[in-house]
Amino acid sequence: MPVVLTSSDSETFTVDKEVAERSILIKNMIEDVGESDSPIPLPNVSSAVLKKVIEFCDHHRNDPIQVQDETDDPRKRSNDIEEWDMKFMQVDQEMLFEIILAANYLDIKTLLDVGCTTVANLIKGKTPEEIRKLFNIVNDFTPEEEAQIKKENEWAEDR
Amino acid sequence: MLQKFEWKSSNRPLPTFKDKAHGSPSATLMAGNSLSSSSTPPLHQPVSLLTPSQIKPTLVIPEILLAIAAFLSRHFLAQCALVCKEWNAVFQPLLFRVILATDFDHPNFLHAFQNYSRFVTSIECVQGSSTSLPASSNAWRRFCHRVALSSSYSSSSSSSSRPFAILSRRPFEQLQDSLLPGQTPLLESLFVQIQNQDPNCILRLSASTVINLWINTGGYLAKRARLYMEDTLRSYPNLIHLTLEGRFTLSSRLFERQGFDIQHLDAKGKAVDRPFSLESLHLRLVGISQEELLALSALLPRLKSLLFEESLTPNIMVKTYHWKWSSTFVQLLRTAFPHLQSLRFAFLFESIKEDTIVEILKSFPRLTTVGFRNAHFGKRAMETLREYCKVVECLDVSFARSSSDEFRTQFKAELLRFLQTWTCLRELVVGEIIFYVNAPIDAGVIRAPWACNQLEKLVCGFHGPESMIFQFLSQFPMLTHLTITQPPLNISCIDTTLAWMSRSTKIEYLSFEQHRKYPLKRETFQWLLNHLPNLKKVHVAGTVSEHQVRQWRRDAHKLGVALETDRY
Repeated sequence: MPVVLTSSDSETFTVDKEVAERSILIKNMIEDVGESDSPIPLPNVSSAVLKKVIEFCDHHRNDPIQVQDETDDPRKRSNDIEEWDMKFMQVDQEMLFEIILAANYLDIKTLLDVGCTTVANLIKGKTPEEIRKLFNIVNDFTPEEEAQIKKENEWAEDR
Repeated sequence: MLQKFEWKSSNRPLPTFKDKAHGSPSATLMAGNSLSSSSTPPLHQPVSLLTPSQIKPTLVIPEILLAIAAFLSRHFLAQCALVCKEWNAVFQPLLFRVILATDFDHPNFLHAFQNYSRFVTSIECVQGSSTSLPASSNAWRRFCHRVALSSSYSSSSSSSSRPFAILSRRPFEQLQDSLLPGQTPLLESLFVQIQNQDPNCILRLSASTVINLWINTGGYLAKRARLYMEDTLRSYPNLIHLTLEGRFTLSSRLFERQGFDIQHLDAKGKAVDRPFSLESLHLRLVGISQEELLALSALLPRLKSLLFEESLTPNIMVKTYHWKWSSTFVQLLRTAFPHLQSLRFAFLFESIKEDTIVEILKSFPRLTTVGFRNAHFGKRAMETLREYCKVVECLDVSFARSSSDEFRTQFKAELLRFLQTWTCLRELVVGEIIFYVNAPIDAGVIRAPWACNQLEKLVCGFHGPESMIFQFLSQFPMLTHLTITQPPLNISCIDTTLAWMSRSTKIEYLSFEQHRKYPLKRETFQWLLNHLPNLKKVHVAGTVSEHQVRQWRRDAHKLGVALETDRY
């Protein structure tokens, strides 16, 4: 049975239930409401982003659903992304962050992981100044504060 | 890890991302250094009056930052902590989540740690002189005859990161000061190595949140200390995994008072005020008598995993367990610990007889992990395993020194039949077995693909050309841990090896026998590092200098890959 989703800019998307239910948020909504033809409003997701999200869910429709495991041990997580996912994430920064936000809101763990891995890979190997430049972040530390933190964190610098 | 937004379940009008992004910084600031997961959702926060920073809205939401941080190593987390104040609030505490033994050697560490101890989830602390022995994370593997098996038994989560060199002597009291009660509400894992001291001093740390405790006292305690299970559980009431290593004895006060009485087995969990949740008890060199073990059942009604090993490092092997195996004991063991799923014995001085093994296997049909080192685990045991232990996932076996060639061949034949039919096997550790990959018949069994294509860990030897070995290994795409004990390999850049590498991207640990005459080449080593993206640790045979390999590793920009050498 197809599900109708409405984006923030009132565009509607008809997708297979199986695809829509990659989002735990939508899955719970469907379960709460029961079978219904009325569209599901997603006021936090624009049509451009929703389109991408649906593309991702459609590609991964047959993957086993990742259980929300609490093992957030960084060492256990690998940083390699499947080729398809990597291509999928080749978007501008604006879109990348929109996708991450949507994945978080819609509760699609695999998409969130792929998005966050992409950002993590951007951060890797960069100095704080390069990271600021990359994401357009203003340094609000005084030089003294920065030096102080740098000194305090010396012990964690070893790779 | 991600806190779900409140809007998910509420019927209130949903805020836009913009609102969320503006609300968040104030929440972060209000919460100071605490992780945002404990701060209130930003819904009710007034829109921040701070100048809206130019940060992309996404990159100020702590949940998102935390999700990103999960993919970053500590070095990069430290860089992130310097980016801006908002990032600092999120990333700084993450530096302190996992504390390694070497961290204590940095002059600034303890001072910084005191301010952030509430974020620590795991600590390892090694006290000793530089001449002391390495941490024994790999001990379970080490006694396998002369074969230097490099199949570290991955029982503890941090085994891969435990340091091999022990640094300067540091007062244990420092750690103790940092771990005052209430200072470490998130501490779950504690690994402490204290050279030749009474293990009871660890009990003074008394962290009730710890679920994973590892105590190592080294091998040369002059006077055998005695540790009581009651005391341990009083200091660490929520323990789930307990690993004790060293020359001391484990007992229970209950046993000392009353001795072992069969009636204890009926009073399980009632002897104490509250049932403890300990599920695994692993002992290396730590003495315990059969009666004492049975008496522990009153304290440990949920025990699932038991491990006994009579060695700590290859040079410390001590006859520790003077056990007499009998049918009665096996039955009592079953009554005492009915939930056992994992049983491993490495008795180095007295091999367990096959009759006993058969009896044990029949008595514990729920075993998922079966380990018998230096034991008479032969064809009959294998048959019993297939018939009775239908859920076995991990098999770890080595022969007793006295076992005959015929015994070994028969075992191998039965093992092959097992492997060709058993689908759920995840770990196979049989370092002495050599599988023929280039012959149609091996030990009288027609060669066929193994059924266990989900294998994650494999330790064994092969007979055949390198190309065929890797062709064979290509059927196990889930392998994370591979040790090839035979034959010495060159690992050359040929099709079959490349094909294997492209399939085996999950490999985290790799060890293979290397030629004495032709030491590992730089190209080979760097090639391995570059083609196995998840490699965390690689074993390097003694013929190349460690210094050189370190340089190669640096050149390949793979400093995160740990090196393991033959020297201990």
